[in-house]
Amino acid sequence: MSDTSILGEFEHIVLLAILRLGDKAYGVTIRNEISERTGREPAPGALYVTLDRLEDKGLLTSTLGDPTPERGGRAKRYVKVSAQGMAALNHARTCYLRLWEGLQFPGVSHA
Amino acid sequence: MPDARVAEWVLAQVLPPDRAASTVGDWMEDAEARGPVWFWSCVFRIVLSRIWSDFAESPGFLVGLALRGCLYSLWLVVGTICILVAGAFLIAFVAIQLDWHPSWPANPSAQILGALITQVWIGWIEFKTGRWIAHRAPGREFASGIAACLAPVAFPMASSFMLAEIKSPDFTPILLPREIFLLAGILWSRHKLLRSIAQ
Repeated sequence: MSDTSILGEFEHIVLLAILRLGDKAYGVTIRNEISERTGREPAPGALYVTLDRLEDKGLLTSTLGDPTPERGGRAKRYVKVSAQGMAALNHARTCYLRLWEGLQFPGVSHA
Repeated sequence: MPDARVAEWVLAQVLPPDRAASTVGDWMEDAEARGPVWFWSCVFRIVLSRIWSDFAESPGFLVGLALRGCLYSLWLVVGTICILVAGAFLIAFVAIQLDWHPSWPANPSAQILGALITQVWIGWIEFKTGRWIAHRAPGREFASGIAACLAPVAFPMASSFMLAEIKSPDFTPILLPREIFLLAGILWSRHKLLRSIAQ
């Protein structure tokens, strides 16, 4: 695993939101998904800078959709998690699971 | 409804044009519900985020470019002074040959004219410097421009300091700061780059 594939917390959240959205993942839906699932609204600057960075790292690919009137004729930029992005997510998940293994908190159920 | 074209132009200064358009399109979907304040705060927050991100990714390159920009501006100052001195010698030579005694008028309008010439001179040097810097940092023009504006604070031999030192004793204050011309040069280069991409 290269250093560029080590995910930050917000990068991790963004990649998971994109995976959940499938073919419908673009700026607005990603922000709504993160907001719904985590209860926190990502700052617009942080979200778009993170999307650009993930694409520069090769963890995402993007394609432009068709222009729509409610967007003033501007196209949506749809994003997908690349194979490298999937590998980075899988690596992060394995690391988290190893860290959680065997930990018990009083008053918290571990289903 | 906010003016999306202005927002797109602002974003295109720090993002590739297609990304600027799709980003503004995203915000337009929410702008009616959230209002223009939210829309414009998104625009300026992403500009700040991009500039910060450019600094964080390559601070050494941007600081080095800013210092080289200061040296370039200094070179222009020295070059134009050399030309002016050569011109003054030529006028003096002609005056001696013709037994002519020209003098710089001391009335207020001459002082205003002197200030305007100084302003144009400084503006031209900084505009050229802004273009020079922008050509060396495509895609990061604005961050390099900010670095160049801040560089004289850390590099006191920079052009503005030198210009302040060589002013005449009866100097009339300069009307506009050098940073405006420097950023104008940066924006001019970015505009030309975006036009060439569009073609």
